[in-house]
Amino acid sequence: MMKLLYSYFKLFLFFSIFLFIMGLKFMNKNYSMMIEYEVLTLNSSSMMMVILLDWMSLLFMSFVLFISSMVIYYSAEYMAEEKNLIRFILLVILFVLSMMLLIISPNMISILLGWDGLGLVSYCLVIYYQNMKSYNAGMLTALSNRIGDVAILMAIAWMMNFGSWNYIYYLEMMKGDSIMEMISYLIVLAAMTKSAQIPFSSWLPAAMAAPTPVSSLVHSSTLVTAGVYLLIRFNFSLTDNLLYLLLFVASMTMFMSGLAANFEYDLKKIIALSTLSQLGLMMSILALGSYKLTFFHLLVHALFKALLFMCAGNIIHNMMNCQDIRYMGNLMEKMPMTCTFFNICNLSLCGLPFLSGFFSKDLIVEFMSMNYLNIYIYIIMYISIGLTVSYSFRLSYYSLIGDFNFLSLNVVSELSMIMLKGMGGLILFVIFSGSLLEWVMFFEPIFICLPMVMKLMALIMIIMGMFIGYEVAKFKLGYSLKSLKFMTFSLFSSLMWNMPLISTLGVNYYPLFLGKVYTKIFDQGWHEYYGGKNLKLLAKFSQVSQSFSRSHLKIYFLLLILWVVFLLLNI
Amino acid sequence: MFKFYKILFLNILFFSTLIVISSYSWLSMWMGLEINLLSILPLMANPKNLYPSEAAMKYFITQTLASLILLFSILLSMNMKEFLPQNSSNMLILIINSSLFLKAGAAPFHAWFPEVIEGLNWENCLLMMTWQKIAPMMILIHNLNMFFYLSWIILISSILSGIYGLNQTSLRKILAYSSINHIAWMLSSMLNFKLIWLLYFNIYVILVFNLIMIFKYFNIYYMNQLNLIFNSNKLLNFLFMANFLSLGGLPPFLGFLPKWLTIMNLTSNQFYSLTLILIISTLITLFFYIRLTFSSFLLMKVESIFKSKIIGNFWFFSFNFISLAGLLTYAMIPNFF
Repeated sequence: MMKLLYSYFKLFLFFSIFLFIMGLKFMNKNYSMMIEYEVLTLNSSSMMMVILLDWMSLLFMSFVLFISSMVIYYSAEYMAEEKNLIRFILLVILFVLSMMLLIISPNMISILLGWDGLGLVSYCLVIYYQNMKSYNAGMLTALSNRIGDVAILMAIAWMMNFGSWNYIYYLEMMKGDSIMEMISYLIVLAAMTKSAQIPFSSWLPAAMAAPTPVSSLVHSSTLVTAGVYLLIRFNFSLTDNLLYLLLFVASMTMFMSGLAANFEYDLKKIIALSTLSQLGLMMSILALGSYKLTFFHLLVHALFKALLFMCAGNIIHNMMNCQDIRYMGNLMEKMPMTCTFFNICNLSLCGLPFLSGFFSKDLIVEFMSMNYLNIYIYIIMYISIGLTVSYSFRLSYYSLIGDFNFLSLNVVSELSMIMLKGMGGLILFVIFSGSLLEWVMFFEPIFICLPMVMKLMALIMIIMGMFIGYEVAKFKLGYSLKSLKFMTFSLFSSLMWNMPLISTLGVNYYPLFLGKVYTKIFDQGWHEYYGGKNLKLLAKFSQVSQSFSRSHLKIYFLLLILWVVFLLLNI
Repeated sequence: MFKFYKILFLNILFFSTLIVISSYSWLSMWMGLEINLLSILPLMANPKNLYPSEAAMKYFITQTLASLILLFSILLSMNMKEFLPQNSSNMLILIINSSLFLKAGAAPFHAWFPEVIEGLNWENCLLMMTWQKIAPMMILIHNLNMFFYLSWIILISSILSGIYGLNQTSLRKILAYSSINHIAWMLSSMLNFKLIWLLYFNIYVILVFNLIMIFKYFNIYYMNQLNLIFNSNKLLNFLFMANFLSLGGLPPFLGFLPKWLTIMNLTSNQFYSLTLILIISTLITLFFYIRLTFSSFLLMKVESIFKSKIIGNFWFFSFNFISLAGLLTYAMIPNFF
């Protein structure tokens, strides 16, 4: 059992390093390689399995494999007491495999293979702990993602007239075509479901019902970034209107999830919401027109978010599966190494200078400031950055320092060496990958020229966020409860603007209610009256007219002759 | 006793139709029609049964009347200034068309058709419903220039066949009315593009052939006898049901193809209301097809232990294959090359 696990760890690590080197080489030489396997040609549209290897797919694959190898290593201890460990490992492997298929295919049909695979396996992983909450979360996840699958299927149908489904050939050539516009709308819809943008956000925190290593894998580099990656591939075909729409939705998602994370008390959910916020950031910068920056942030975010989840998993593991941050506190004395990692990741997430997150986030906000856009985007972007810092610091203050709030009888200590090793494999990259990738990817530096205030804006927002996070984390029994005082606001914010309600109750109750009304009024009402009941008249008419055909041949011939005579008279 | 004269008359029947199709003058067309009539009458005759004779008599009178009107209008047209009725839009062409509709059994002139069919056995029904339609319809193809009249014939055929067929229990009559419905479709298919008529007719022959083969094999003439099929064999049940669906023109089956082509052609030539009424009235026909096959739709049933022999014929299955999977195969085959 463990042998299987370690062999996959070694395999993935090897391939990760190999693909990383290949990616660097491809980037340096500006190579890309395309392998086509024709499955069948039907009516001159050819279905192919296509493999595209360029620096983007190779680098992304290497990151995914690296993170998943570390996660697999990590779950050797986290899932050590699991009865069905093999099933778990195989599910994770399948998940990574689907992601690989998605990354390497520039063809709508072959991308569907990876896309649907992700949806299905993520469902299996979310319902891994078999209880009602997991089932509900899994169903919400699967059905939300299903919308995206359907959008991709519809895009395939629209793409049929192009003659093949290799979309990368058509992105720029067919831009402006109405069919291509329709396709790009559908693709954006699919990407929005996969990356949990606003109408479909509720599944992402719900998917925290999965085991923590899975969360670490799913929410850093695989499932949720699939949508972003698809849009990175598709970004040449997106029209201006669509980009504005995407920008609006993504910025709202970013703001909403940042706000909700400030009200959340569940450790994993806070991190999930922060993932959502970062996804919103990636989508926004994509909509602003820089797919390279999106990809940059995607990779960097994958690293520190994976490590963040792994640290959270270690904490949860030691806290006897308790993940409420109000029970935590002063963990830095109990588990110093984990807390160090946790802190580094958090600060990297906030964009503390010269940690990896700084390079991407700073570049993104400054790129945004350089753009000529409206004040709404500017403000919401900076506020979201402040909110990110705020919830990160709130989380740190709640869990890492202060009073130890857990049960008196506890064994919170740092004895889990395998998990620590798995986390330690990532920490160097969390620190250095930002600068490394920036030097490699942006061969020509992006030109930024800003006034002093705008340049310092990010720093100002970070400091303000720190302060707010610190204030929010002060939790004393003697205080009057502010969230009770502003209950409607806090409920609205912490429930992600009521989105879980809308996407569970809203899509179940109201359609069912409408169905009841329609059954009563139409199916068993008017349709029955005008259909089944009164079509009896037709049968009656048929019975009556039966007498016309009862051997009246004499009359029939007479009428015929009369008709001919009548015609003759008219000649 | 093997009746050799039937072979003779069958051959004459086929040749007479060929005469009609290939003739160049009206008179030889008429002659072909007469030979056609006179050669089918001996085929209907059966000394052991009274009803075929009655049917033959009815058929004889009707067809003679039609031929009479045809001959009369031919002679009249020779008297008139414009010799070729194709170029004139007068009432004469209407009379000719009426006589041809009478021969084919299109709706307002259809009253003889179910009566005659009711008296015949299945082989003769097949002949009446398929081969006997060729000659009048081929002449009609050459004489199409009164679209208004033709549209009315189509509408009346399609609507009346549905309504009349709703009340029948005799399978022969049901098939007769469905034949009238198909005549309406065929007439509308020949409105713009003659080749579709050819396709429609061929496919219709295949479909009707399949059904009649089943009925003939089990010697079924009425609806209540259908249990003979339904309790014997599941495969046969399915074939029976699917053939009827194909006859009704449901998409995956072959019967859909000619209807599809007809609808395409009609709508692209702005015959919208005609198409609409055709489709809607065909639904009634589909309704009584489904009523016939309803118990075979309910796929769960108790099979009797004494299995009747299936028609294990190669031709039976190949015709069924054409009828059921023909469209799919037709669509797929070009892709393999």
